[in-house]
Amino acid sequence: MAAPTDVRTPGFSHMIYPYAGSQQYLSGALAYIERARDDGAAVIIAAPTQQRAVLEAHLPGDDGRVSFMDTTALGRNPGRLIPAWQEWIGRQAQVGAVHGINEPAWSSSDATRQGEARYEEWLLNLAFAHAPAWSLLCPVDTTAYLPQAVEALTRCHPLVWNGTNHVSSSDYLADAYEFDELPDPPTTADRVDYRLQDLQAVRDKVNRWALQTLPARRARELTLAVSELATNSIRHGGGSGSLHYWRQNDSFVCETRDAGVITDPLAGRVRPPATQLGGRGLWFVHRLCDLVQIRSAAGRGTRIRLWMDEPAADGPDTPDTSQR
Amino acid sequence: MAGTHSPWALRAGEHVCWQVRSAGDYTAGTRELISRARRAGGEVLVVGGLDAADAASAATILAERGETAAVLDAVRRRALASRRAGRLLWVLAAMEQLARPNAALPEVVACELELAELAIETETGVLCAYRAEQWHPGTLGDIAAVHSRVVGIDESMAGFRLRYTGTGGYCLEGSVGYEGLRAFSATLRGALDRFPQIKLSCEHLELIDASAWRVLVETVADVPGRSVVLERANETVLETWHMSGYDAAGITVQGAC
Repeated sequence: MAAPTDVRTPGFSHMIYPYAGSQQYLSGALAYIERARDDGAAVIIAAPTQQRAVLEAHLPGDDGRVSFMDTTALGRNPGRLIPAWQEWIGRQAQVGAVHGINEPAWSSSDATRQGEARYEEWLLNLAFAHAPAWSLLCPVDTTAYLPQAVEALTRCHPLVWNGTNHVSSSDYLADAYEFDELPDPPTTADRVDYRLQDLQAVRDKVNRWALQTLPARRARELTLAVSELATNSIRHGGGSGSLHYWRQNDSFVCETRDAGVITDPLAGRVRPPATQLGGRGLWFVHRLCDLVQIRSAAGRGTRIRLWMDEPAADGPDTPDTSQR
Repeated sequence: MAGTHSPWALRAGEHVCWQVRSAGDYTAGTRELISRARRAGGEVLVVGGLDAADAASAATILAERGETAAVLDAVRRRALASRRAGRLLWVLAAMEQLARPNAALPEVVACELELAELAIETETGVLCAYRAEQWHPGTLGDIAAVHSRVVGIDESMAGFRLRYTGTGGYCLEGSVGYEGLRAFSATLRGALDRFPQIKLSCEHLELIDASAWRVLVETVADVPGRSVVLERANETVLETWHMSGYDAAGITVQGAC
């Protein structure tokens, strides 16, 4: 770690705050909020109910500068984090600087979701690379994670908050992100290959399968998400693709594969402008599904894995859905 | 989407697509249709060619190309007269007589939308025959979307149906996805050319994908002053419209409740 940097650095300051226990959480978060107030900045806090209550109980009198965001609206998919912050800071940024605290409910969730949440943290740096000055503190409870998970998360943040100041992180992955490999689908997974003329048959098949236990609305949403991915295969992935689908614990999992390459890592993760025609397929997928894993590279094509959880597991924490 | 009853028994107001495999199938199907109509105490009005052997059993209007509007007017008058007289009438339209087989899809769709209206307004069953060897496969794949069902070869590409229900109203059923975009665009545009505002009843609509929302936005934007109202849409349709975030004048999406 390098020397402390100026807290008023222009642009986006994205910092991790590893803490152990509620006392350290409170002192570091309050110091960050105090710094923001000194700067005349608005503070936006997106945190689970428990952390919110802790902070609310210790914040000095309400000066109208601190607002709490409802993170339940994010659902279970970390891929919805970027547009949420775009929306949250969008209103405030017009009137001045914004300091955010980012601790979504999936932080302590299963390994698969943790991996995608980590990638989303890394993508925040790209998404806000050209944004007006604002900072985002991401508290991480080190007692709830394995040390290597904290290290991996730290590599997604250019800055580290030490409780009173932020410093540059020498571990930050500035150039390229290293994904967790997707395990192969189970050998029991069903498979269907598709071309343009098969789209309706693919939708029918997925919908019938999902209706085994999912309510009609969720089954329809999964069907639409798969349809969007299959359409992308046909339009951008060489005209065809394949779909694997299977049940895993309490989730319905679908994976499409094709020969295309997604070159924009933010595709589907940023709300398209109202006047832009098209570019909404992956956006829909991220909004509809509980988890989306995208692996795409030249020479290897694209694999996209969708997870739709059964309603009984609708809370933020579910059994481990990782195959490893 | 085919009915469970005999494919040759047309319901009042029903607008059916018949994709005909061969000349032999056309002859056999026509005879079956005429026979069923006669057993039901009615008759078949054939628009287009008919074997001499069958001519005596069905009134025929021979259509010359380029006279589509006049022929359809004549069919409409005849259908209205039958309805007033309480007589059953089914219409068999040999579509190559009403539209050029090499015509662009919107031209064929325009003719079909008129036939669909005729069927509903005169409470007449209409069977539109497409002899497969005369028509472009793409047209055959798309044209089923503006009929309530298909008999014969079913080469339907689109996963949706747009059925006329009367007074500028249509029922949009199934799933509107990328494979059906050409048909969706043509049918929407055709309907908007006929009515300044169209209402799409979506009770039996499963979903509209992102590419189809775009087509809807583009199509409505292309005809200023015209509008589309999607009524009784399920939560997925409603939600994806909001998700799409289009700033689109002329489009309203209303939920089921």
